[in-house]
Amino acid sequence: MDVKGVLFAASLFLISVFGCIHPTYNVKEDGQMPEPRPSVQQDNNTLVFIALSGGGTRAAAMSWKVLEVLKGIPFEYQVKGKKFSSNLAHEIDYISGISGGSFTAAAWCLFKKDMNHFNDIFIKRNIQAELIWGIFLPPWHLYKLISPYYDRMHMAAELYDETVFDKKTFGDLPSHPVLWINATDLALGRRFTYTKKCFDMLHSNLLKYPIGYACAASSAFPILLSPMTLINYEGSDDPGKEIKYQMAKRNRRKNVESDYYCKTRDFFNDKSNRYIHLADGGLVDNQGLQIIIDQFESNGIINKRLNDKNNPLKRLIIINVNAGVHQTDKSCQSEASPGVSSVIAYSMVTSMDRLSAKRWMRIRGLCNDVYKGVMDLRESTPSLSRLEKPYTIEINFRNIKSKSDREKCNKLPTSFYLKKAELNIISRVVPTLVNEAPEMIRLKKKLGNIK
Amino acid sequence: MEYLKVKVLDETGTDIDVLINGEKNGKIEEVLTLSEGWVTISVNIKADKIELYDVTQGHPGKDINDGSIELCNTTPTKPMIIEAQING
Repeated sequence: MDVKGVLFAASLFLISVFGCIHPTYNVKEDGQMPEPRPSVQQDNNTLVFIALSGGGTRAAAMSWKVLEVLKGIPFEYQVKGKKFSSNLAHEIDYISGISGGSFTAAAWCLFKKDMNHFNDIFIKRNIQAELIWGIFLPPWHLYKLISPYYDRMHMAAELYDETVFDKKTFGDLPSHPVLWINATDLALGRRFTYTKKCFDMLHSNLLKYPIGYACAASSAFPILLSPMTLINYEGSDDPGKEIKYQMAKRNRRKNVESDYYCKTRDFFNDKSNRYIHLADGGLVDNQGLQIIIDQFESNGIINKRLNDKNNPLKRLIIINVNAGVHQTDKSCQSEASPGVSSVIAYSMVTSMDRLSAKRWMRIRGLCNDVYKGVMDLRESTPSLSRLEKPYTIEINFRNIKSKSDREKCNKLPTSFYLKKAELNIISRVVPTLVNEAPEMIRLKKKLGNIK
Repeated sequence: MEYLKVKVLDETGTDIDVLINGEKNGKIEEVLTLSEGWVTISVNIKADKIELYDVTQGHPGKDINDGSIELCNTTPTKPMIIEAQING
């Protein structure tokens, strides 16, 4: 056999052996229920949501520092006359994460007591270099890429699963706070959140799904990384019998979220759509805010609490950690056509930022509407009798007062590696951003932390 | 944001669950906050069993169709009032 023949035979061997490697997929539902998890002592009259935006390590580091600062804000409350001392971070009920922020969100739920460890194994680490030089390029890893089903994304997911999240799955999460990791469903062009409800629609078991894989999907920026695939399993399902679906169909012309709900149910119910491909959550919601907006809708968590007279809500706190940066694009100063990076920035990043800003304005508007209702109904409606004006706290680099620090932060790259000096500046500016946010000052006054 | 109050005819108790699209959400005789659009309303008289009640009258509801109503243009002080009556 000549050299060509040997190479041909070797290629055939490699393709036949490795060409059908499949990555880890979501498993079919098996009726497994979550193990009973110990309840957590917290103030049931307060509802705290926090959204951690995308932005690579910059976002992960910013959110990590915000959580550290929130841990230092005392939160005292009473239950049946007995006083409890807590902190604002411990009172978080729901944590929503996108891309870089999803890593910190998941780590907070899993390793709350030792977030310094997460700082060492993720934020301070050069993940980007490890992915490129240690995972993607070495020839001894390339054999996996022969398979059409296996891609760089799965290698990244395995790295996160093994070295960041210790192979933990959604079944390992504590009962409190609730974790929402958001990705983008490419076929539907809408948000996909790793929740039991979404996995139920796929007839799949979320409890066995690795958290590292969800974070990988949430950060799978198009072109740089391939999408993450989920299997849409067969199951007995007739959405037409559900009241929610029937009402959403009636509302779909007036309400875009109802329309999305119907499209999603129809799409998942069509079993020819055997696979769901997920990419970076930032493509449709780069701050993880939409899932919080949904909670104001009928039967959402916020809506139900506003109507609950047996456990009246006292405080609704929504914290938006936005690691977005505003880099000046100089292409408008030149006659030459913008380059590829500028086009991506214009067509994707800028529109993502605008949509996110609109969502934050929407949340603030909804909170104002809620409070207007409270002003009218407080005396006659027990469920609203105790509610303070909702707190909408935004932590954003653009609020840095020092021009020099603001410029430094706006130059921070979106990557999975930041230099020590870059991490230091985030650690330095975040405490001031949190403590001097006007809505945080109002909250602290109500909590009695400042006069 | 829309506002709704559910009353059950010939019922003196107030600790009765309202079901919005089949999910417990608030109690009768209270002003409830909801989002705009079509919803089904029912009430749960017995704690261990959901008893569905028909919507018999809506004010100032636009349409009533198979027990569902459309919430729109209500205010905290002028909620939609639903009066429910037991089936049969």
